[in-house]
Amino acid sequence: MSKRKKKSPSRIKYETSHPTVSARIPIEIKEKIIANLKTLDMNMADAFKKLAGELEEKAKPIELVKKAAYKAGYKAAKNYYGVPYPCSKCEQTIVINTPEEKEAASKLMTEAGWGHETCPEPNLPQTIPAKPIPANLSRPNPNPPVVPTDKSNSNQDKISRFIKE
Amino acid sequence: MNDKEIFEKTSPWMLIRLSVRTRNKLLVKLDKRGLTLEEFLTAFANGKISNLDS
Repeated sequence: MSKRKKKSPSRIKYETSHPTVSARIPIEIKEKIIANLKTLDMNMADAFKKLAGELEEKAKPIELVKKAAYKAGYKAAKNYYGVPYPCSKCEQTIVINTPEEKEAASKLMTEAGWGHETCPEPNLPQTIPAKPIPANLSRPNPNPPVVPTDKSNSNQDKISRFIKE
Repeated sequence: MNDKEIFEKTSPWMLIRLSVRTRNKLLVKLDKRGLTLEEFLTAFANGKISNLDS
């Protein structure tokens, strides 16, 4: 019969101040928990401490933060400005990089007739669009019909002739 | 092998040592959520709890 090893006083003190939190969980769930904790970059004790509101967020070293920010910015710029095309032989993706590639791409774009969306067509004459005429108005007639005015019959003339007489 | 033995083999103990203060806080937080430790761990494993901040 083996004798149990005697615990040191510090160990006894530690165990009384740090009791165990225990649970029986299936192995599959334990594996899932470990996988989830890996994604959070934590261990089980840290997760419990965080849940209890005892864990403070560790500040990351500035160099790591700078590296991560640079990587994120580089990736975003590559996605925005990079022009990928497949290799004609092995079909692997190549990003336009060299001056020769840029020149070829520029030529192709020019030949295909790419340009500003807002620019007018180069060969068509520019026309000013006519303003629509409101329904209650009509265009003035350039040759209005001549209405004969009988001066002798107008009332004003009759009065003036009467006065003269 | 009886049912108890199968259960003990397939569901081993998970032991974590926490300070008394942390353990008490943890138990209060779990009580607030209305979960036992086993239920919390199962929910966390299935991705139902992703935010550990209380």
